[in-house]
Amino acid sequence: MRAPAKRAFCALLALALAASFAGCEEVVPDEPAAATPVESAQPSEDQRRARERGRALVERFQCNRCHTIDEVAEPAPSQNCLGCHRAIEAGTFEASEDDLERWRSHITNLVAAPSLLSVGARLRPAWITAFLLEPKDLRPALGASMPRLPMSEDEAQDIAAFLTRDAGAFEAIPERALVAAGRRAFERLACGACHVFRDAEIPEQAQPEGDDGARLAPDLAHVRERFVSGRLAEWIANPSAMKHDTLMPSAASAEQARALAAYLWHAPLRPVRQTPPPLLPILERRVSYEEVNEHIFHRTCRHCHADADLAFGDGGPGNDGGFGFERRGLNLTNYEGASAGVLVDGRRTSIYAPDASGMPRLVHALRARQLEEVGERDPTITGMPLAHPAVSPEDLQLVRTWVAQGRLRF
Amino acid sequence: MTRILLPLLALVLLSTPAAPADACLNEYIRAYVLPVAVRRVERVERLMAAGQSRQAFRLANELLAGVSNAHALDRRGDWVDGDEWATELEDAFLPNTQHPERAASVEARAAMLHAILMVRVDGQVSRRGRLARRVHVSVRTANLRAAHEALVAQQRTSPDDPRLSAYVAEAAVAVDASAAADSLATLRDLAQRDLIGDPLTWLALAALEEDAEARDAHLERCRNMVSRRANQVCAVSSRQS
Repeated sequence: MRAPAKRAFCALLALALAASFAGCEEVVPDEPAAATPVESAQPSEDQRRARERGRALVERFQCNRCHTIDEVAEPAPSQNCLGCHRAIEAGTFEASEDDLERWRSHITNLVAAPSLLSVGARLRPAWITAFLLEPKDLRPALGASMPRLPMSEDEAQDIAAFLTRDAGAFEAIPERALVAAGRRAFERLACGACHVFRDAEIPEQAQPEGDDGARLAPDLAHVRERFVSGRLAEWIANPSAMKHDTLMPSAASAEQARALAAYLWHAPLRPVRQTPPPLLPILERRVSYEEVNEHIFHRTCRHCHADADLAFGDGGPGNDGGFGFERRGLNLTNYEGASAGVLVDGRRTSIYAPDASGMPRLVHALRARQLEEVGERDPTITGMPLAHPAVSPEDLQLVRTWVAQGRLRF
Repeated sequence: MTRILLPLLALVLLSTPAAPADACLNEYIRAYVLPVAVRRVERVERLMAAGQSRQAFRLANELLAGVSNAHALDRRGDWVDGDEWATELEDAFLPNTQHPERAASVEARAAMLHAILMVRVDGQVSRRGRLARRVHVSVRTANLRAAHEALVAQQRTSPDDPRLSAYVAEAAVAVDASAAADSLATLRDLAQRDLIGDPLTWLALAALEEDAEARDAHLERCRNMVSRRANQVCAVSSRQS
């Protein structure tokens, strides 16, 4: 093998190894690479078809219920999850003040979601594909996260192809020599006021809280997998030029942006050690449906698992289907509805009966979400609540106790 | 006098401009603020959970009558914005009149509850729809048959609804005692699959059950679900057993 070819082969091998270890430890190639176009200007016939399929899939999975997407229309008001939540929060939703106040106290998650405009200018299709298949908690201050949808790898790739159809980006690894300057710029510009970044050499900071800017600010530890390296400094220097609706301010000079890109790319990361929350023992005291309803069903579940009859025909995605999920016929708004079970492979199945895991299906789904949050995906069930923070160990304890006690109603 | 007043009243009604559909409540309020019809359905269900079938039946009766009135009013097309009685009806049954495609489900639910409650009050309802201590056997039979037919018709469109399956089984026995074996099989299957959420369905199963141990277990499930007077509500009467 000739020397340049050998170097290229080694670089590719290093990249492949880095990618394969990405789930365990974030490793990135150190060496600056030559500017490499990610995609040619003219799409091939295959790419064009993949984008068309991707567009159809974006509609099927109803990505527009939360995200703004180029070339995809806004959803109908009754399906506009975010639009309603924001209108309620802002007080512009047409309802009584009492209702608005009551609803506001319920809406703690899903009040903001990133728009998907100009995604191709910044993000890697491979990362988007991986994220769709195994969503991570990318935006720690947001509460809600990307849901795990019933999506195949091919479908995820097609969606990524559609979202990155405007790609014209290139790869160029930021210069390692600028890391120290980047760390100083990070502190001076107070990037940590919105972003989490697990720099191993600085003490752990409290999680930022605040407005939409902070809610939507991604955990910067993902930058290395997520971003097209050659666009990172450009993005930091002038984000609105790349994405007109971004909330990221243009605070850094071109020089600072290069240093920040280097810092984010090369700074050693603090390892993430997450352990599953404990499964607390069954309570000895009596637990009624009213208590479980107040803490879990009413607070969270019924928004997607509504009563189709009383919601004028729309039982929500967890009942009538949506976000790519088929109809499951699960109504968690009242005792009778929950007792009527869920459609599993077309057959009504109790949510209280043990499934293959040995746990009652309801408990299994809630536990699966707790495990998803620490990166342990259960392939046999979708964790619930979908895309929302897992229930607390105490709330799961309530549900387990209630089911074990025979689901007392009062 | 009546001959003069009625045309006058008609003239007044016709000369009042009809309010456009969206002038009173807009789409969002219709969809998100629970109208009275929905709240009434929920109240009927709460009464059922308390084992208070007679009170629940009365309310379900009013609910269906209200829906029917609202339909009649809507067909006339003379909604009067601000009129007290019209507003009340509108508030109560608007989904039924403005969005028939959405309202169908609320109405169907109300009709289902009415039908099973008719069975639970043993068909003792007069021809005018009032609860009675005892009606003529032909009226009772007609009531029970109509209730059974209404439930069967709904089951055709929702064959996978365990609640409807249970109600159809319960109604079938009330209409014809020879259906007991089939009803028992249906209810046992639902019980075995843990899909019964109505205390009185457990009671109906207990009444059909021959095995004493199983009957006690069903009654225990009934007692776990009923809010008040559990021992009275969840007791198999001599007529039932």
